[in-house]
Amino acid sequence: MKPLLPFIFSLLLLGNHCRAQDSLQTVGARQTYAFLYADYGKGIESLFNKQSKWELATGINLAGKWRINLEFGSGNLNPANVINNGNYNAHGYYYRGGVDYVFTIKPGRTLATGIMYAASRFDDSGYAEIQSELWDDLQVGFTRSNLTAAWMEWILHTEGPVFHKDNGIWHNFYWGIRGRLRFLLTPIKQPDFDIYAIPGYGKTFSRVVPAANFFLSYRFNLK
Amino acid sequence: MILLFFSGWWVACTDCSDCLPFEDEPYVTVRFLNPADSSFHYIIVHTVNGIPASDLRHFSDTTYQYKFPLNMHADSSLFALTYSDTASGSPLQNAVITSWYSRQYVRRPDNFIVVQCLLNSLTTDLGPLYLKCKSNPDSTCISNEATATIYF
Repeated sequence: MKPLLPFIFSLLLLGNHCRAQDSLQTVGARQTYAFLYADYGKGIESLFNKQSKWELATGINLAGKWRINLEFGSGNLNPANVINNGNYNAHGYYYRGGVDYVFTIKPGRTLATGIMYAASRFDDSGYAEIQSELWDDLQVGFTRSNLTAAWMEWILHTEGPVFHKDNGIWHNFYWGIRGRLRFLLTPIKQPDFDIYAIPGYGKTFSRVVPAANFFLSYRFNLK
Repeated sequence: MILLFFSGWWVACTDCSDCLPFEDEPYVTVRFLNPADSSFHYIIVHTVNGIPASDLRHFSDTTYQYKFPLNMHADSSLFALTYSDTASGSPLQNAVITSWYSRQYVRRPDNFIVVQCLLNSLTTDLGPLYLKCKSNPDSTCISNEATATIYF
């Protein structure tokens, strides 16, 4: 799956690029605007597995160049293959804050890069069953509360208009992808069992993990 | 910039902090040695705590080494053995091996949670016992890396 990610990402970038070329009057090329966005990818993902997630964001784009972002989300994670002889759950809330620098590729279409600081507060629990040939099998469970984690993110963001309208409410809808490279700052070691997943960060199989958000946003012109 | 981003993405691969040769459960290897001719073919264990030794996955009937699973519910294990002496041809006899250790949970690279035991000591009423660790000969070690040699 991993080798396909850049390919899929490139296709989406290309698709966004092609759509944006004939949309010359879309909002935001050099304007200051506020925006709201929702991650529809997480909603779709929640339909197909036992995890439930949501994420919303808001921010302001200053003169089409600098974008200040605030993101909030929740995750109830039951990641597969974290404990193969049991199960694991992590649930809690997270926030992110940061700034992007925005490049206008074509009118209405932008590419941005930036950094974010993120933190999560969450609870986790797990269970494992270990079989023995000679003794009784061992069942072990754990529950922990008020865990915290922090990480930084390097952002690569692209977006374009959803509808090719020159005016009206529809021409302020945008969609795109927000790619992230996350760098975990806090330790995952805990007594007996480590932290295996963090809401907002994902599985802690590595201290550097990639992620992507598929989002739909709405812009509010400020001037 | 895009290439740089994806190259960073690419190197975000799995690392593993628990990459040791774990088994499904902790055990200690015991072998019986005849001090006169250094033969291993001396003691045959028939049962361990009432279970046939040949039913244990780690039983080796070619080298007469036995991997006794440690009790994961406590910090000690007592193995009550019935054995026969191939040299003397004596009938079944009883013996006891006791081990003390501390336990910890680890996650293997295949994401199975297992118990790892740090062995402190082994005793037996069979005869002199020497405990040797593969990686740390003079100190406590992971039980799966330890071999206890009983001179009988």
